[in-house]
Amino acid sequence: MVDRSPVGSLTVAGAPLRYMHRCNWKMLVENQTDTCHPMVAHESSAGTAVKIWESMEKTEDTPKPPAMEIIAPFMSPYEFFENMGIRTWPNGHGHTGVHHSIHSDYSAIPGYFESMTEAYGEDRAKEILGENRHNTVYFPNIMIKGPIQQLRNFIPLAEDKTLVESWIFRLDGAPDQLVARTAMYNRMINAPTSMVGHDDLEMYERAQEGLMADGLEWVNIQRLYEEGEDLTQEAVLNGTTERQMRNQFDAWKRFMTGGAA
Amino acid sequence: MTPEEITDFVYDEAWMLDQGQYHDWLDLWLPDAIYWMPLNWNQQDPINETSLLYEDNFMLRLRVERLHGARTFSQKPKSRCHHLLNRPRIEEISDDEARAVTQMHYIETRLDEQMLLALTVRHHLKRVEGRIMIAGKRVDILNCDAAFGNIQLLP
Repeated sequence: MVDRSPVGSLTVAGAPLRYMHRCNWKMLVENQTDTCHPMVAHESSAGTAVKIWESMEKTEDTPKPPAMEIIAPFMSPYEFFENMGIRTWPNGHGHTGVHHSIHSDYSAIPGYFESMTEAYGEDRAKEILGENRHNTVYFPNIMIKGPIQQLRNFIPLAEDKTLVESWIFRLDGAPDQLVARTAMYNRMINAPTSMVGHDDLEMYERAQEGLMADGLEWVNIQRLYEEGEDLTQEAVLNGTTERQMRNQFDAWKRFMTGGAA
Repeated sequence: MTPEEITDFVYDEAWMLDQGQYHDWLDLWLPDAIYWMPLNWNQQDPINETSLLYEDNFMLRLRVERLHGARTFSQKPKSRCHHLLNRPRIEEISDDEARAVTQMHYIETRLDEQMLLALTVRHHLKRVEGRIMIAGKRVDILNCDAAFGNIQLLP
């Protein structure tokens, strides 16, 4: 993330969002690398955005509203998320967006690539900007979005209460439009007033209520499980695998039992 | 504009929101108008810092359509809201333009939860083809920096 600044530094921009979730912290951390919920959970927001845009009278020159660039990619099909890829590291860390991500097609900001090339040389600049990671989870409770300079902190307050802080950073030496897009992403996706946030929180709270009941003893996270899965090894896999969730629980269990399990 | 027209407009707009008359409410907005709700107290910059809302016509329309959507699970059951207004203070007034600031108490409720927010609402109004319309609206929440759960409707 720091490499994306032509002068190699970041500055916190504005106040962080603070969003209270009445659910267990692990649901939020799992959600960061879950690639099978967006097109279902966010159909109400992203799907409706796409429908409104399609129904609008427009010419080729009609500018696409910012919401279409930020929110609409959540409606990408399963294949998109499969091909995006996921990487897991030992001890519960991992990230989505190995090959591309929902942040890949953001429009270029004039002057930015030029200043990066000047600072790093063209090859290195392309390498830095070619990194399209989606969400990187540093277990247990930090998520970083490198391409859009965001850090989310999941703070457990009780077994059913989690405070989520969403911070954004300015890339020092880069055009203002970048921090403007980051601020837009933060408010559209992660604010207590965000429609996408409403979609997610409703699911978390319903799931939490379900867990408080005795109806189901197990939560299934077997998606794309492979026989002999070795979580002590780094792996790059199909983007819709739940290996990263298994990876997080593997780390949690080891840390909670002091290595006894 | 007359002070009475401005006062009536501010009261009517809040009434539309409380009654869920969202499509009529959308018709009050000029095409370039922005609904701004700062995240920070006395926030000056809506663009390069995070806000709670900074919404153009497309986003407001998306909000309204989403509230009516069959797949909007966070609105099953639906939220309800209630505005209690102080008399608007008119800060600028001319034939076709005005600015007013209004203190409000806003209540939003869903299921067993009810939230009370104290608001300072600034309206920028313009008369266009005889109708008074919203050219801009800024809503400051007294405890804007608090950790909220969902705020799903429009304060």
